[in-house]
Amino acid sequence: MRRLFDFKNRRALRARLDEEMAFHLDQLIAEHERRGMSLAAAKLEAKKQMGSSLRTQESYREQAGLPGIEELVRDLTLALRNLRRRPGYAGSMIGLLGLGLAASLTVFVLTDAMLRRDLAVPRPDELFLIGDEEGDPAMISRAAVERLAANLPNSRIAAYGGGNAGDHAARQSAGKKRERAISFRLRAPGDEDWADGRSVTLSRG
Amino acid sequence: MSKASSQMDVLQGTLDLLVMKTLAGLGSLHGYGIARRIEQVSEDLLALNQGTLYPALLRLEQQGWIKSEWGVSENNRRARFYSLTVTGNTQLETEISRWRRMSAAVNAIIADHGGAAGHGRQLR
Repeated sequence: MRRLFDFKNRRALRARLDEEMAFHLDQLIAEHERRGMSLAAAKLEAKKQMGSSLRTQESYREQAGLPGIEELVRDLTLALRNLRRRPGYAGSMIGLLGLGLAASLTVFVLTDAMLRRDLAVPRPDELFLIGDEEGDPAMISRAAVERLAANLPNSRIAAYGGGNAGDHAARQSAGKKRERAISFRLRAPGDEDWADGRSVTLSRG
Repeated sequence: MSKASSQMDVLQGTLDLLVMKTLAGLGSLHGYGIARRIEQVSEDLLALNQGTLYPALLRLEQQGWIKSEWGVSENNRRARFYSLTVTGNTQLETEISRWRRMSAAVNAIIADHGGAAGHGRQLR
C-alpha cells in the first residue's frame, strides 16, 4: 500500500533523494575540510565515500516505484511510438499476427468439435454409418430412411443424405472406439417377402 | 595498516539492523548522522557506502519500521530526519535476536576444531 503511494509520488521522492544526497555530500566535504584537507581533496574523498550516485539513484528509483509496472508502461510507450513511426510495417506485422491467431483458433475449434466434444445425440458412442457392401456410404431414399426408422424402434436417425436408392445391402459400422459391424437389407416392394411388413432385416456381421 | 584497508564492508542484510539500532539509541537523525554514527561506533571498522543508505532508509520507511520528516540540521540546513516507530522497535528486537543466533552459529562452527577430522578417512 505504501509502495503504491510512493509510486504515485515518485517524482517528489526523487527530488527528496537529490536533496538528501546533496546535504550528505556537503556535510562530508565540510568534515574533511575540518580535518585539514583542501576543498578539492575533500570533495574527491566525499564523492568516493558516497559511491556511485547513479547506482544510488537507480536503486532508490526501484525502491520508490513499482519496477514491473514502470517497465510495462515503458514498453507500451515504445511500441506505440514505433507503430506511429512505421505504420506500414506495423500493419503487416499486426496482420501476420492476426492470421497466426486465426489459424490457431480454427485448429482449436475444429479439434474441440471433432475430438473433444460429444455429438448432440443421446448416445454418441453408438452411432452407425450405413454403407454399401464395399463399405462406402450408401445413398438411401427418404422413403427407405423412414422405413428404417420405423423398424428400429430403439434407435433414431440422427442424419442422412438423400438419394435415389432402392434396395441396399448396408453395413453399420460402430462408433469411435469399437468396430462393431451390423449388416441389414432394406426390402423394396418388388421383393418376395416385402408383404410381411418387415422392410429391414438386421443381422450382425 | 592504513584505515581504508582495515575497513570492512557492512555485511549484506545487516544494514537494516544497524540503522534501526542507531535510531533506537539516538532518536531522530538525518542520513548523514546515521552513517557517521555507524562508523563511529564501529570505530571506523565498518565502511558504509553512504549512497546505499538512502534506498535502505526508504525501504524501512515503506515497511513502517521508521518514519521521517523534514527538519533543520545543526548548521541550519534543511534535512530529512528519521526516527524509529513502535513497529520498528519490535522489529529491531527480532533482528537483534536473529543476528545473535546467526553469529552464535557461525562462532560455534569456527570454534569447532576437531569435528571435521573425526568424520574424515585417514590416509595411510
